[in-house]
Amino acid sequence: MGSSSKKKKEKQKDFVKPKLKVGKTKPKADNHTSTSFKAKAIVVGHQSLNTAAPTVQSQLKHNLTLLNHHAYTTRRDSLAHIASVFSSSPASNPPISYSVLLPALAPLIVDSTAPVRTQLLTLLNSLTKSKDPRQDAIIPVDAIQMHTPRFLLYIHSAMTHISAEIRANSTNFLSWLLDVVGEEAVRGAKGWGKTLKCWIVLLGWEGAKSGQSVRGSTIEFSDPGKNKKASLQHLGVLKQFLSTGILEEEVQLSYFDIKNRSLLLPHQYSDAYMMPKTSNIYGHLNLFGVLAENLSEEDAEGSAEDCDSRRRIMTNVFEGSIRTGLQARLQEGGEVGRAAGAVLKVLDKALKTEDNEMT
Amino acid sequence: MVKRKRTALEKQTNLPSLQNQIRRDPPSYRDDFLIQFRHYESQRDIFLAQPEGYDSEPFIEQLGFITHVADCYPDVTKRFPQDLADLLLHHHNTLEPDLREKLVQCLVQLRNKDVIPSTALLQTLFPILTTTNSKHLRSQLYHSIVSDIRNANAKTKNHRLNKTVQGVLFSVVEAGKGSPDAVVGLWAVKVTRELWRRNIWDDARTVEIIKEASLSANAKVMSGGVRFFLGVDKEREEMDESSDDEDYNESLSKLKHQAGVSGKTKKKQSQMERAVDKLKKKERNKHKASPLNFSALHLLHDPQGFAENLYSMHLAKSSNKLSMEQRLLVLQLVSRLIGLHKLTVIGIYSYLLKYLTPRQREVTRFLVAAAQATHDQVPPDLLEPLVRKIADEFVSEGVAGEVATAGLNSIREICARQPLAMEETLLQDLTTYKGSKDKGVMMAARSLIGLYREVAPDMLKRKDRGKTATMEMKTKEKLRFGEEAPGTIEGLDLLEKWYEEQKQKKVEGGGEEAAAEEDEDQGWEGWDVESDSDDSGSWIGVSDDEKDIEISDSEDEKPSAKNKKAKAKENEDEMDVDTKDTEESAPAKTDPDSFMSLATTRILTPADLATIAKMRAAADLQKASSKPITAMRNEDEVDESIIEGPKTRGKSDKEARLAAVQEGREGREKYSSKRGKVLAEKPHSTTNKEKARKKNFLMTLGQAKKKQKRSLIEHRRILKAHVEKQKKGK
Repeated sequence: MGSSSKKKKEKQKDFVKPKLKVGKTKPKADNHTSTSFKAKAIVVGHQSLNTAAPTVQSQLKHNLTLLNHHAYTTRRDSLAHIASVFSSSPASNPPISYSVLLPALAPLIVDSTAPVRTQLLTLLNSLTKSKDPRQDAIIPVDAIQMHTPRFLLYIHSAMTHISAEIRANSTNFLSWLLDVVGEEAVRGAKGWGKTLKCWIVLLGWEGAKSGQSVRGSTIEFSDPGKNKKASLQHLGVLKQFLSTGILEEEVQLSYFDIKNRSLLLPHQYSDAYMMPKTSNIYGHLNLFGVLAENLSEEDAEGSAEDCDSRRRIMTNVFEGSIRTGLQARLQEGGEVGRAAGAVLKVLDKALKTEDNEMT
Repeated sequence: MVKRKRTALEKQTNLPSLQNQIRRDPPSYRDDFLIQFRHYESQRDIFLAQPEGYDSEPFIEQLGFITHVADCYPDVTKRFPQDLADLLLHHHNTLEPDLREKLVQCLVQLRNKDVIPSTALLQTLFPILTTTNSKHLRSQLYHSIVSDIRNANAKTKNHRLNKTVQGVLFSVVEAGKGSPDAVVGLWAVKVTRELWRRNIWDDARTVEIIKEASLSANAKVMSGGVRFFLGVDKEREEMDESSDDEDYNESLSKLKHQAGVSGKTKKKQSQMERAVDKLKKKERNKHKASPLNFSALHLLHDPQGFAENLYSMHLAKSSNKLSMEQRLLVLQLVSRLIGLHKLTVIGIYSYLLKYLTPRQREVTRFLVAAAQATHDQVPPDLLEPLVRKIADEFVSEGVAGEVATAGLNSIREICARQPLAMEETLLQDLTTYKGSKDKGVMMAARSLIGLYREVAPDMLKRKDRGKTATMEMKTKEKLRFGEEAPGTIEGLDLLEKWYEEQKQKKVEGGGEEAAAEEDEDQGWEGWDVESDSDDSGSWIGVSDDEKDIEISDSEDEKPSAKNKKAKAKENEDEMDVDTKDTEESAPAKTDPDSFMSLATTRILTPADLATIAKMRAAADLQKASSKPITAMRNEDEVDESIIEGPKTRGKSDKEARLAAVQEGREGREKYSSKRGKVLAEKPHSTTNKEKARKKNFLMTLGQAKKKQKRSLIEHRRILKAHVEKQKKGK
């Protein structure tokens, strides 16, 4: 009896009308389905409804920060934006300081995607080289010179990067730097010794010294399509590098210069008695150091302020391996062989002039 | 060559794969490694040019790579460890946490690969540990330092490394000793303590470091050092005990169970074997003699100087800014040192005097210190005021029972160490508390009486002396300061007695000589290693006199055992016979010189010592007494609970009593009443059913009879009414 009455009560419960109360919302039906939803983000088509456009400066700053963006298209686009802004503004009054711009650009040398690197190279080329020789470049050479060490650091990093593509592109940037700042790029330990070290590992000539057979870097040969092209380009830049570094240009003094000189410095050997322009000028005498045969890699990073000291470092440390490497390339023949021959010629010429001077 | 060709074909795109290949064949991948090494150098230069805001992720990856393969190209990576150390040393405050952590990891890894020696690693890490601001880095460094030293000492003690590290730590502590702000020493103390606890360092040099730290001006460093001395030996023991046993046995039994339950696999079998091996090894270790573990306090050089310095630096100066707790720690250490090494630090007794009042915070610890600082070389003049003060302040009619207990107990502790500290009149005053109603006080007073019954019964009142003490009083000499009892071997007289009995037994059984020999032989059996090894040589068969002895000993019970030893012992035997003869007369005399005769005439064998132990145990049982109070030694620590006496439960308030009752009922719900449980669920009054059940039997009797006598009509009416009622109910 008891259980049936309980069931009855339960049945009745289904038909009980819910009481409606004033000021309360109506209770929802049992079969009610909630159709509400939550969104993590709301994307608005037009983000800014400001009528006034942002200033060039603020846009540039924004674009500089975008250089670290994870999407490569964004990085590339912002590079393009920067290039367009700078090329349209006068050189005397840059929209943003070069000391902000250039350090931000340098890390992109080791960027992981090729389009960004090419974009960077075009930007640098267009902004720092003037098409018309009578006109100055948009970014003055002084500004670049100031930031040369930083560019060099990233170029070194690129030359030794594990990704073959970055390494292949790295010498383009070196070439650009040599074009723009000239001797400044090969001055000092960073410019000369370090870069030469990077050259040697880049071209896979390290084994030459210790008597192992010379072979191309494994990675370079593992890219069959680009192999020839890349090494051709590398050798071309190497030639440029060596000629900038150790090939002394004959300074053509204009008439005006000579006259000035004679006025200021009455004696023809006055140069010898002037204060030296570089540091550690007697370093080559090696008064306190180790013997020349024992010069190790650490010594290669010595002062390389002038052409003589660079030549000395070259002969003492790097010449052997570079020569062996070049000879091996020469024997391969073809375009690469010819390029290697050209580099060898520069090397011979540079080192011979030194010999002549010495005798 | 084949491999080389293959390497040329493979594309190197990421560091892990290159690392894998280099590990397999270093010479072939030398060029690739060189490129990566130059890349690392350029990365490092970039970092150095701009330490802040540097994206360190690729650099970290590069560091890991070079570290992993550094041992393959030692010529190239010669300067790599130094580079890392420099980076860390110069930039540890500006480095990104991830990079910093990686650098430390790399250095430790290089150490594990034996690329750099331990000393180089520690020389890099320790200065950073003491200077860095980062807590995380500090803990990382601390753990790597400790684990490195542990690893270096894992197989054998690396004394050279230990020496250098200890030297470094010592200089660190010494450098910061003078200034109150230098907390550098804290890390030295921490490292030392950890290594001591793990039994890696256990020499005097280690103790010297801590000694220096305890004399530091900085309160933290000082208390670290003092705590080391007070607690570290106990910690070490605990560590030894806990490191073995439980978890291990548990895992073994678990493995055994699992092996029985599920199928046999090779893995499980090997696991089992390993576990059993480990167990066996541990068993072996258990039987091995434990290495000498001197406590830190015993290893101190110049404890007198140390105690004096501690006292004068940290306690005597009134301008000291030490907290109460720290001062108590120092006091505890100084008093412990005084007791242990029998030092004389005169100032401490007058210093203690100041703090011995019942209102003083932590007064029991001061009392403990007073007791610890007492030994038999302390002049009684120094202790008398101390005892007098305690008696005046703590033991009187007006104070609570606990206070009087503490006072009496501490007086007893002091007097047990230096009985001369007590005056006769004071003692007799104090003994009157034996009739106190408070149990603690009564027990304390009785123990004081017990003490003086043993050491100086003449100072007690006649009725307190007891029978044995009164009897011994005649022979007992008066106590004098500085007197040293002559050293004896305890239980030697018992041994002598035992020998006597044995000899008599033998005389009854066989020849006296044989008995003596037998004794001697059994004594050295199993202990005399050298003679055994001699016997195993070719000497046995050749000798002629061996036969003779064999014939002469034919009566003996154990001819073979005797046989072996015979040659070696021949001379001794003769001598022994002589001594036995003299001994026969010895026991008759009782003068003190003669009772040591056994010790002076023969060498006690291990068996003899074992017999002594046995006899002593038996004698103790006969006496049925616990160890005498005077056996308390000045070396031991005084426990605070001894001073406090037994805890009595005082009258607490009603709530506390109820709580205690409730506590006793926990877990006993099974035994409580059922009605209580029902009412706890839903409180209600008694139901009709219950009432009916409980109704008096006689009252129900009439009703039952009436029911039987109902007519049919009546019965029908009632049934109908019932049906009707049911219907209404619906």
